[in-house]
Amino acid sequence: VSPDFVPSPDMLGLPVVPWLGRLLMSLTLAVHWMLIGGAVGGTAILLAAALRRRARPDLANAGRALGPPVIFFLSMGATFGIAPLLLVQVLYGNVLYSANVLLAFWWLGIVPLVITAFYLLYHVRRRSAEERPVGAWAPALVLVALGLVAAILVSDTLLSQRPDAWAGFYHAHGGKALFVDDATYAPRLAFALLGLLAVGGIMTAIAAKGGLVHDVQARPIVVEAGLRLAAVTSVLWVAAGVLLLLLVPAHERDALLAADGAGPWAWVAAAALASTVVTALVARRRPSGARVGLAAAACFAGLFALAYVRDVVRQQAVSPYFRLSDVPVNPQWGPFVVFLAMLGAGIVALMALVYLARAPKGKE
Amino acid sequence: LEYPIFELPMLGGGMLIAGIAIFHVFIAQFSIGAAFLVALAERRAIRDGDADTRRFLRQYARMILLVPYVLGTMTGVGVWMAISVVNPRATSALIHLFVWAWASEWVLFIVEVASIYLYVYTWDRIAPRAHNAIAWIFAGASWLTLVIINGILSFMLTPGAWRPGEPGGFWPALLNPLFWPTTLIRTLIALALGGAGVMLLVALLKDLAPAVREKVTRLAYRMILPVWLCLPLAGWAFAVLPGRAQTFLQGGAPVMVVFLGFGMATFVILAASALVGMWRRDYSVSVFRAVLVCLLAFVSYGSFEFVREGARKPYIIEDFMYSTGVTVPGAAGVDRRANLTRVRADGVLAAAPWALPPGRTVADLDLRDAGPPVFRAACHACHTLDGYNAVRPLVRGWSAAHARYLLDHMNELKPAMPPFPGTDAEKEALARYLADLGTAVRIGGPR
Repeated sequence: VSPDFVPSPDMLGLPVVPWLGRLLMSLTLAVHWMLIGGAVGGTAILLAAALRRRARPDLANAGRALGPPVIFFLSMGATFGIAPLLLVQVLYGNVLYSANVLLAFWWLGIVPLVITAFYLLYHVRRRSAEERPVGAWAPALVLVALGLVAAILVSDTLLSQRPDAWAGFYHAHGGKALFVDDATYAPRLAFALLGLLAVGGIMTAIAAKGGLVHDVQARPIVVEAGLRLAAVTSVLWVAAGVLLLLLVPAHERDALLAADGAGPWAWVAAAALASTVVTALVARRRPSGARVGLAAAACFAGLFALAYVRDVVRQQAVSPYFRLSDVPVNPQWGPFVVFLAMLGAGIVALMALVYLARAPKGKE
Repeated sequence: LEYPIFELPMLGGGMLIAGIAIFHVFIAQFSIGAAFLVALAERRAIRDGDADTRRFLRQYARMILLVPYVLGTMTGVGVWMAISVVNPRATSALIHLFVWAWASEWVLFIVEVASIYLYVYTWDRIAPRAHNAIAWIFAGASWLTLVIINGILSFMLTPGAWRPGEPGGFWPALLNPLFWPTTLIRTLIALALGGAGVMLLVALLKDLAPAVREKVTRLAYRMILPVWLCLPLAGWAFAVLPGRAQTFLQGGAPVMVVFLGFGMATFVILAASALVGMWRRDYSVSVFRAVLVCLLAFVSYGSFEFVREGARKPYIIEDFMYSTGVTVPGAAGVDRRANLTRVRADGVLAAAPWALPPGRTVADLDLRDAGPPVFRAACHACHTLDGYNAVRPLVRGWSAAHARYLLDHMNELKPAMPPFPGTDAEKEALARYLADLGTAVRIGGPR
């Protein structure tokens, strides 16, 4: 492909030093994945509860208490997604926007899909609050909607790393097709979806342990269901990761595992994901708060390392067309400090909210 | 330019953005106003020991706050997604300039999400004053998001002392000349929208206790009334507009003058209706009247947005980037690919490889073949062929010479149009293409 087809990096230069931008992007992306995982995993449990409401009335009852935390996870997850989306535009806007336009109709479909998921979850929550049976169709459709969003995002990320495929794809489809013409697309998507389910199982257990599930009797059942989901899907997640590694072209795999590239981080990610499997299995046998917390910590470490590996892979993929190190940097330290102050104030506000939410009813 | 071109048949990208943005701003500003109304009403109800009003607020908090909030948030992301596919260069510039402003807004979004859910799901579970404090945190965070995004939007029309590539440009850009008047205008409109929306809800609830109806409606009137202050604030905003935008509003752009008039009139009518309602102690508002008030509030904010968007033409970022994505000659130092000086020398197609037919290069194209790609590169950002803002009806009956004359003097004859961004040969190719388009719709023989 002619380099002319790859837009130049933004003319205003980078407003942040690259290492800081990459660090913040990987960190917030990992939190985003954890929270969206909570929504996906929680919805999967809602689906299981709806499908098995006769065989498992205890699970069906517990499912009634799960609506609000799942909605909360989806809201927070979508909100946390804004930060990595901002930073990826700052660092790789030229390739990201190109991929967005190449998938335009699908890309624009993300918002209606997420809104649909929200209102279906509200429907589930309302039926639960009214103690009416919840049909399996609603959580199933939520999973379809969120799965489609994952399919679009995986396609977008993959396409942003394949400028060689842009021109042909553009002239063939004009923004109306998903980019699936890559041998690694299906395993990438499977890896993402299984990861969300595994993370979601752990996050659901955390939600129940942490009191986000208001019904006290439902909590142990939700914890058990979440950890069971995590135990099964985390094994499959790792298997999908191995399959993905085998399917990527040899030169990409070599680059991925090279000691001077993503290699060390790839091994950290692998170790953390293996720890997630082990801790999830252990926590499932004896679900104490500490064990569930340990599984969540291992999972977060794995996701953070994965996010960083993903960034290194992206850099390698686009390096024939542009290098981050060649982009001029005009750091905005003053506004960054104000952002940090705002972040501090936001944390204080969140702590105040938690304090207020624990104020006993009789106490003014 | 530079990027692949998004083609939305009939509607065009501009209409897509407008459609999502109108919905988003309406919902988001209503949500902010409603947050203040709920916080205020709850505080008074707690102070007065008014269980009925609290029950009303509890019953409808989800409808007033949570549902609009989710729609507002997601459509806000939708606006960004739409602008990023319709005009990636402008989106990229804004993101690179304001990333920390958006990051600060993101922190506020997190506070908003946490507070709205706690507010809705802790009714009667925690102490009332603590519950009300959560509402104030939500309202405060929501308003601050308005302040930040308004700084970015007003920058696009009045960049003030900001110069591309100069260090330390963030603050003059954010706190630009339009920042304060438009922040205040948006705040007043948000309060009015919140008041109007709740008035409609109260009108729809037939079995609401009269005392609750009275209290909530009175509060709604009080939130709508200050909207008259938008009149002097609009004067302030007008005074800091670029000269070109001022001439648009002084008669240079009749449609904008009409919308400005609509906006001014609705501010007055809204405030007057609230004043009359308060004076007559009319707290039993009919559904028809409530709908009318909501429509007026919608027209007032819609006019404000229409005028703001229209006054910016031919720029997408005043005095920096035209709506075509080409930057002004003064930005040649930072933009080495699609600056006006450069594209006039090298050709717009050299900066727009995606506009070319598959497998063709600029060197392959003759004068006739080059017309459609030049149209896609230079006109497509605002115009469709046959849909919204269609070119075909505009060029009906044009000869190539006439088209050429108009392209030569485009932004002199029509100040809302950017200068033609290409070489003489490209201009000639476009003129011929436009003439062909005009011929195609003519009934009858050749020109």
